[in-house]
Amino acid sequence: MIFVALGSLVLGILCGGLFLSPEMTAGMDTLMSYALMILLVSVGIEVGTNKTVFRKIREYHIKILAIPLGVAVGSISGGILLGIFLGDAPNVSAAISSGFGFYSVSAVILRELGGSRLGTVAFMTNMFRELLSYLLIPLVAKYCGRYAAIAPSGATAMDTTLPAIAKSTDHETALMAVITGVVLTALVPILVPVLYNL
Amino acid sequence: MFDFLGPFSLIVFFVIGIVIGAAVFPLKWLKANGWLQIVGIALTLFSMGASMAGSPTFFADLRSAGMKAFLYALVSIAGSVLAVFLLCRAVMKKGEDDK
Repeated sequence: MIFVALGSLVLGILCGGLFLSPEMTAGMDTLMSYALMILLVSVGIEVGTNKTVFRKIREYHIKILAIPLGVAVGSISGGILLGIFLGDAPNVSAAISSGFGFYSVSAVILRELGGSRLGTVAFMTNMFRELLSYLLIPLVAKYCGRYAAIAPSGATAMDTTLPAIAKSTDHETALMAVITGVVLTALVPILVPVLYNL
Repeated sequence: MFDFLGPFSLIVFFVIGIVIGAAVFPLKWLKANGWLQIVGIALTLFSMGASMAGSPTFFADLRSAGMKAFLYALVSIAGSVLAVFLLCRAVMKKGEDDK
């Protein structure tokens, strides 16, 4: 998946930089809005059909939210702390770090709200998060426990990095990872614009 | 484009998807939905890339964004792991989070 994403982005950059006229490049914003709309409806359908997630949420009750809550609070707090050192405003650093690895959606939202440069930072941050997750999940599972192994993935815990979590932990943790990914995926389109507008 | 409900505009499409998925979507079409997501991601990122490359400051932005993005990713992961580790120790039963 990450190769499709990276390949599409690089192809777009090449086309935009080399072949497309300025008028066509401007039309890409409209295309991006429609593509994002389709993507969000499609991700919503996947979440909606996953009845196991809804059942397990009732079974584990409120405790099941400890993992997505921890990921959200930890990511955003870490981002705000780093932002202080880098000289970024707290609303900007919080918005960047609340992408939770969902690079397509968070980058597009921040590009629309904060401009091209912020969109680039958001995209690369979330891409790095996914890549680093693959490397760190086995280590985190070994030294910090099975539930903490879900944390690096963020929203990608329900799809792209799920195999890495399942391999390093067990079936129950893999299910918790799916639930965590679903909750965080749902939070990204809400948290990113809300935090940026604070 | 997405400003009809302020910061909540995007979530409307997501909620529409959840309602469709929970109420009427046939499970046998899930694979096709997966392909639709891949196409959606590819189109979103292609158009984003083309639009970004149209900006005169794009390559300078890219150079300066790389290290910053890496640091944001690393620190977000570290914060997440620490918070989940502490929260799970606090709320899960003893032994539930065995290594």
